[in-house]
Amino acid sequence: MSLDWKWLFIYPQEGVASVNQLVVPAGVPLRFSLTSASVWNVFFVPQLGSMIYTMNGMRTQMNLQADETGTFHGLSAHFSGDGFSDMHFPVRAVRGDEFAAWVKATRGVGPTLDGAAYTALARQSTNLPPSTFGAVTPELFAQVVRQELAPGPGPATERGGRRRGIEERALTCGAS
Amino acid sequence: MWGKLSWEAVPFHEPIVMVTSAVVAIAITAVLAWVIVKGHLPYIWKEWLSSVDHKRIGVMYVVLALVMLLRGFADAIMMRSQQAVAMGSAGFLPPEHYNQVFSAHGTIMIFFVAMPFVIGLMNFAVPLQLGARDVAFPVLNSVGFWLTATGALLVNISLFIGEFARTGWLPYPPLSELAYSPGVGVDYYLWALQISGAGTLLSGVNLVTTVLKVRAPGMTYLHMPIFCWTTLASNLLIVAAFPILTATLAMLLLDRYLGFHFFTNEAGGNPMMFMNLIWAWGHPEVYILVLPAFGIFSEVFATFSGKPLFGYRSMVAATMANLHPLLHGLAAPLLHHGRGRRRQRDLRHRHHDHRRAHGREDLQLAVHDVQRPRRLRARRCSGRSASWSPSSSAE
Repeated sequence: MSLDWKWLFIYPQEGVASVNQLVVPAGVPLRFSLTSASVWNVFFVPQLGSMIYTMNGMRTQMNLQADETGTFHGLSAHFSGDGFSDMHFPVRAVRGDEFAAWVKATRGVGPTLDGAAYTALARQSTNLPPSTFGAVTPELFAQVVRQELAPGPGPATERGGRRRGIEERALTCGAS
Repeated sequence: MWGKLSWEAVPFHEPIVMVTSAVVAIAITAVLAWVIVKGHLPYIWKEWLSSVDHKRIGVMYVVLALVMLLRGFADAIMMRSQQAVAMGSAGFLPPEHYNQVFSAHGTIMIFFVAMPFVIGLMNFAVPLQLGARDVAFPVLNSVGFWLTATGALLVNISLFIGEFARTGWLPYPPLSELAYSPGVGVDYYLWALQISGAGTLLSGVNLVTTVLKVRAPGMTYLHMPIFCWTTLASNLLIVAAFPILTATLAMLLLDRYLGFHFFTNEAGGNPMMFMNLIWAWGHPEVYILVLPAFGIFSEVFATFSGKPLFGYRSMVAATMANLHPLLHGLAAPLLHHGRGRRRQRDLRHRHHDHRRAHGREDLQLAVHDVQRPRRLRARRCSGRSASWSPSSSAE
């Protein structure tokens, strides 16, 4: 999932999530469901295959497979605003047992990705260091696609440069 | 009086912008002072700025294109130098400034360099080639130019007051919507393009009418130089495509000013529609720009080779075949919003089944229109070689 301006990866079977890093088992078909929290981006890992748009309120799909272990360069390939050029993420393709070990080390450790954590993450920020969530609220991805979780709030200014009440705006979006 | 405009809108904290502003202000003042002191002002006003002569307007279009080329080139230099120094460091341009620079570069190069340059050449050459005294509507021509110049002026003002769009040369929503681009940059973009787009449309109507209606006596269609044909095709596409651009940008304006939801994330808006619509203009735009250039190549090579243009009629047919985006535009609503699959099958049937009697008849009629009697064709060839080829006139 693309956010302003970072990538959030949810592993539905493992029940964990990561920000700005993607750890995948090598030699296993990977099925991605993609969406955006706000503006359009394009999910692209050149060494693994093709690219596809991420769009708020819509779900796109892509199938990739890392044939060999290694670290690959992932990026956004569609201009998305001021933090666009920093939307890189490393893709670590590891052996199956290493992936299982990573999941085990991640699960239950650190914060939970729920609605509140997602809303906080959806605010604009750049260059977030890679991090993980030890648990994920079920259906969070579907809630974003169905816009039950409001789209990201954008910059904290309005016309003329005044500060805008972000909370107020988010509420309006949720109601509409 | 100034509404929301305040001194905060001027980016005093950005040395690059302020130095540029100072240099431009000094240059404009110097030129103006020179013009006034030397007493050229009445001449420039009467003979150029208020002129409706197609040659003068054509020259002014090209001058506008060259001035904006300088601006676009400066933007390109800034982008490249930022990229050269910014690997692993911040470079000298912050993202919000760099994004304005690259958006302005794309917008300027397409709308305020390529378009005025091509339109200027057509304005200058086509009436001369047709043997006409001027274009069909000289005052409209002047209006079209000054609308384009106004759009260009707006883009340049945005450098010093406020900001320009940070959304790329085509402002894709939802990034260009109020929620994600609350600044005035996208508004500058939209107004500049609405104003200059109206100018381009007027110029398109003018040149189509000129080619169709004000040719010299005896200048039949297949006597026209190839540049007139490419001008006709290009301007037909302008007339067909630019209203789409205007309508699309008008919808984005409504989203931003009146809280509409054509392309927003929320409330049923669909950003994909913007992409579809903007490329319904963008696809013909490619032909609009390249067809006159093809015409220029054909004229220049033929003239300086001292030979009549090879394959003139097939070139004409190929040029007019570039109107196919028009046909796409006509077919698309039928295909997408027609009565489902049955309608599509019917259409396919009609297009491809040449075995049916009336289908074949249509085809033959179309071919007949393109082929001309041999006698006429021979006369055209001799006429063209006498008037067009320097070597044969020297013999």
